[in-house]
Amino acid sequence: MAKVLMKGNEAIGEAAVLAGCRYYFGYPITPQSELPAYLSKRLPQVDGVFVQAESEVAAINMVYGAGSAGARVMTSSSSPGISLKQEGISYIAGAEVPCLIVNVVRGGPGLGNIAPAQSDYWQATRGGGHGDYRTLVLAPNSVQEMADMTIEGFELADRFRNPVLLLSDGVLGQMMEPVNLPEPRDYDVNSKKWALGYPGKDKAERNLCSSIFLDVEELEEHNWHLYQKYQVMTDLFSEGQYKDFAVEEHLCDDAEIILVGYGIISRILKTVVEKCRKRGIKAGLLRPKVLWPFPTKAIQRLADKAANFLCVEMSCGQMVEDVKLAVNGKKPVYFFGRTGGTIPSDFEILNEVDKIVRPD
Amino acid sequence: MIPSFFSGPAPVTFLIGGAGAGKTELSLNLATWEASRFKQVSLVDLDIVNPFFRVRKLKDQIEKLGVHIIFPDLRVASGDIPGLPGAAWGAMENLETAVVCDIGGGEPGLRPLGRMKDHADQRQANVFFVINPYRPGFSTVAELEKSYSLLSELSAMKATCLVANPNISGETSPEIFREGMAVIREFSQHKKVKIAFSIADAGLAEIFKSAPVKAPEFFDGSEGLMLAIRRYWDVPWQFGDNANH
Repeated sequence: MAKVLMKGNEAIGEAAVLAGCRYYFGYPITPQSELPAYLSKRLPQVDGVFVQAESEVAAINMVYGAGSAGARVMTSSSSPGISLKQEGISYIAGAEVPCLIVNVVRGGPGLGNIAPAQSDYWQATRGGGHGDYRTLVLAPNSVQEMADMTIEGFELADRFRNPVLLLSDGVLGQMMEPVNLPEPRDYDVNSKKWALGYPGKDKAERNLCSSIFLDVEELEEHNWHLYQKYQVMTDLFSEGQYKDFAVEEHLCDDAEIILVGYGIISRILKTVVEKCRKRGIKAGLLRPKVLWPFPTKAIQRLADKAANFLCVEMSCGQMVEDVKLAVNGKKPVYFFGRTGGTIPSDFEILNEVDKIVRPD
Repeated sequence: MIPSFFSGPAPVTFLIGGAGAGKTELSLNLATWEASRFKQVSLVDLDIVNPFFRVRKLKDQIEKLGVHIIFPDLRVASGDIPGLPGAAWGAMENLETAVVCDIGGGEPGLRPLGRMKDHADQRQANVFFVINPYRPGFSTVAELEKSYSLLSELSAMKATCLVANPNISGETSPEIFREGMAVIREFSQHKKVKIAFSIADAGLAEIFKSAPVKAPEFFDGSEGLMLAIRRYWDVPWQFGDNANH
């Protein structure tokens, strides 16, 4: 298929349909509204269901229901709306129901503004809801990856029976780039043995999806089960099957300074790395594509070689804490951030690199 | 050269079409092109749909080129409140002011047009329907027919001409351009709505002109009447020293 020109929000919508998602529940909010708008037109064309719920809380619980029934299902919102969904996300994680949740991040805290930001990193990677749980967090940096990671997100959610969060930002949602739409995936809504209404040999299975475990021993056992699942995920993303999917390294081998950034920032950092190299500064880029499980080991390896780390974010500094944990005091970790909707320019990041590498 | 659509001392042009068709880029280029030909030029930001990539964001840069930018009150300018600027009607009533109106994409974007219709009729405005066949919903003659009919039905103003903008951003090759043009030409013949001109980035336009261009510039080239444009919306990693983004 030839390339098409799409907004990031639209690309997620089309990719979801290609992934076999037939259910969307959500509520409009800038800057992600093109996504529900797109699916409100597109899902009825493929016998899907689009519901604009009465609230974000209602929408996430509809996702819980459809996911429990074995469907590929998604919701999306922007920062304040994702805050509202946290209770439901905790229930979904507790009940081990796969689904895709998209956050097109805008400036916070509170109502903030509608401009792009990366200030929901903590919420995304720590889990904004209650209880011991984790969500798998993917961080695309192009419209193409908005599409690709949507498809992969559904696959991963099913594999691990876990909610997957696609963490993008206002720029990625709104900007237009050429996209090669991925091939459609076959998805059978009756393929999950644990799901409600799974058609057994003679009659439907009596399955239960729930996050309630009133018995103390039962809940402890369930929580350790979840913990072990998260450990398996961590291993697969740091050393196993998804190692290369989880992180992108660019010119890191001989780098004296490693620039660390995810999402839209990583595209700017790539420009900075090129400019540094032209000026004789050996810079490299480490870009986490998966934010939880965080690519701790990839950073640890580089901490033995590089002299400095500079983490750049569109926040006052959130991911930098994970970078520091990974570097573990071996080398200095510096931070540069802009917030409130300002996208840092390559020029100002280059100044920061200069201050670190050439302090005189 | 000055195309016939822009004859007279102060032409008025409305740009409509699907979301992401390229209306805002065209409006910026058209207004700056007009600035060196007409006495006064106002570019009216009537985009009530897009939250980010709006004319108002480039106010300082464009006003230096002699275009007066009209957009909703400063206090709501950075928000997503669908406000219309009162000054838009002032510009329409001043017969010495050339006006370019950038309308938001899709069905919701068309809503302000009803409020402007009487003024547009009085000034015999151009209403250009901008088409990029590489956008979802606009890629075949059948899809174009459907989207065009829907938008025309909802629009208070009838399109006077089409503007062809076949592109996939920075990756547009001459072949991609020509393939897209073929779809738009077929639709134009089928629908009996003329193509006013096409648009291409300066680099691509030079190939069709077989000579250097100075965007924004109209010329007659191998693909017919074309407006060579410069791109105002750069991707963030190319913003470079332009740190006001």
